[in-house]
Amino acid sequence: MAKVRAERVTKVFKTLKALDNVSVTIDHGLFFCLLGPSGSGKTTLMRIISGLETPTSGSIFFDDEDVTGLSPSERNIAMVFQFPSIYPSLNIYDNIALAIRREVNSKQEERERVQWAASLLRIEEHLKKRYHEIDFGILQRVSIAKAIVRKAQVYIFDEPLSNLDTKLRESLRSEFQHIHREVGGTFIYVTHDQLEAMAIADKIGILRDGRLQQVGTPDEIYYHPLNKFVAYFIGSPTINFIDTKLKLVEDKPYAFVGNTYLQLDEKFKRALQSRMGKLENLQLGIRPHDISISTTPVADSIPCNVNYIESLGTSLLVELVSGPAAFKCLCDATLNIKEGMQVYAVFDKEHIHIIDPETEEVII
Amino acid sequence: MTSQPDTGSRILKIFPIILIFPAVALVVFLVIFPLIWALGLSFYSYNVLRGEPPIFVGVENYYRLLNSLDVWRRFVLTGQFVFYSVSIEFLLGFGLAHLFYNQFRGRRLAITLVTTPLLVAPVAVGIFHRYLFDATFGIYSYIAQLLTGQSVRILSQHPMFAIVFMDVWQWSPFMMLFILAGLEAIPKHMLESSEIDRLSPLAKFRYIVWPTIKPLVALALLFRTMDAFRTFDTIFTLTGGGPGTATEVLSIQIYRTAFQFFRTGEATALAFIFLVIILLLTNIYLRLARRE
Ligand SMILES: Nc1ncnc2c1ncn2[C@@H]1O[C@H](COP(=O)(O)OP(=O)(O)O)[C@@H](O)[C@H]1O
Ligand SMILES: [Mg+2]
Repeated sequence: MAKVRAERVTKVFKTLKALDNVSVTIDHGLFFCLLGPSGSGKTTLMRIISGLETPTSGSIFFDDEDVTGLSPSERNIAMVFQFPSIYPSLNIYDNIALAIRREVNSKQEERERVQWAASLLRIEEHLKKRYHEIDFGILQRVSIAKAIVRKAQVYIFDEPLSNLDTKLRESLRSEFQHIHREVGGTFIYVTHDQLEAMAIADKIGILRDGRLQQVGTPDEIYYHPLNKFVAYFIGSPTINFIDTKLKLVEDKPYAFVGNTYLQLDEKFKRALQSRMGKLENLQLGIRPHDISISTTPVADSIPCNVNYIESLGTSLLVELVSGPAAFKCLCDATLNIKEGMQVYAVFDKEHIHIIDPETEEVII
Repeated sequence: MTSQPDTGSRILKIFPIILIFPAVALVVFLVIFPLIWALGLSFYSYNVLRGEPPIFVGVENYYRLLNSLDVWRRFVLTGQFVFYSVSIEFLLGFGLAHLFYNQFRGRRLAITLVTTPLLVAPVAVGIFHRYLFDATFGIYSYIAQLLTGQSVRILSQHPMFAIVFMDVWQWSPFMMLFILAGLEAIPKHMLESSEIDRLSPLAKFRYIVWPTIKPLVALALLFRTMDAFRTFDTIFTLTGGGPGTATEVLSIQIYRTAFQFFRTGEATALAFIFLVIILLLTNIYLRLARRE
């Protein structure tokens, strides 16, 4: 296994810049998720790392060896595509065995490794079957088995679950961490599903329009997004953005939300001072989880009206309106509220972000 | 009053029959009727020129034909022609298809040029090959002379080579188009995944390329074999079956029997034997293709 490093990789298709100066280091043995909406360049980056595509500029390193000029087979990569790639004329066993034909020294070793991969993916019962005798979900398991059976420098999975239905996806997703521990290699896993990434990754890289937005652990990305896009893309239900302006009163920071001034933590003061007085036209970001509702007035709360209530089973997604501001809040289903009611929203101040909507940068 | 909807529905039932009647009639009178008539005729001794009434001879025509060494020789000759032509066409078409599978500048124009022989009328193909093979002025004869150092009269010395060459010239592009279509149907991600799996070029061909192109190759071979088997016009215009009977394939023999020797009954019998062979070939191919 290897440490993978992309250095200032740019890829231009005719006029379209699919990747723009992407640099990222993936430590060896890491489970790295590349996350981004479709069309953001994830597949292109994977194809460049695997050698199926050459970058317009920039380089790829495996353990400090420049592999940019090497072909996929010289790089020794294992890769799973969005669609199962099974050789139709061979049965499943032979399909998996073919992938390690160059690696094994004996039939015995081949059998052991195929068995090992098959049991890891729980497809032992299908080994003797042909391509057309098994369904799509199993086929994708076979593709994954074909990849992890290898002793490769890096294992790449390009949205391997996106064509499966929800149930299959969830069951396979939960197995992925186990698979990673057993295989013990560098995994790069591509997805557009942030829940999937948050659930399985050691580290996540977020790509948007060919630019890498942020790299970090799931917690870092969730709690400390670097920009508005990351804050928006991660987390479900989606984060609220509320127009706001800030001011300092008696050396204490306040944010204007709806029609109330809300006192902020001391830590905001420093950040605000660095803005040199530009305190208007900002946005306050807060996740629905971090807002609670009180039916009686409490200190430091924002009086609002309940606009509508959406039931999510054990919780309610409530839209609150306060003056010009509207935001959603997630609260317990046992809470006794009705649409049109006057309530009081309490923001968890630890988790408030202030965003400059012009640069989309998260100030704090 | 009550019969009104009844009449309406009866007209509705008859209407489609009226519509397809002309087509069916055409097929019956122009195809099926002559076929049956000819089948009947093959059991008679009959000569159109003499105009005498046909004499019923039973299976005599068939018996005589199947026991004639001459006819067997024609079978072998035709078989050789088909085998050489179709094999070379397959190999050439295969090579060309792989060439055109790559992208290069002027690829479309090159494909158009390579496939033009398909559009040339067979008689024209035969006639201009006669010029190309001409012992005195022909460019092919000239090339042959350059290569061998002596003057070669291809049409009289190597007539089989000439007719196979001509067939290959015209029909290799046909094979190429089929195989190219097969190659282009190979999913790109399969080729890429075989690259990732580090398969050898041979394994790539065996496990990805061949399974995808196989049905198309089978179809192309079927078409070409049947077609080559009944080739008439190109050979007839190039060599007329000669020299002697060196290139007299079955179709030309049938023609000669019918229209030069006017042994009409015998010719029809031969034509039916011919038909049965083609049907058998088709069936074998289809069965092979379906088993896959
Ligand atoms: N071979 C190609 N030729 C032209 N444009 C391409 C090609 N491959 C990808 N693109 C474009 O590059 C962008 C990124 O594509 P891709 O890497 O497939 O995104 P993702 O995998 O994140 O959905 C898209 O706008 C896509 O249309
Ligand atoms: Mg993609």
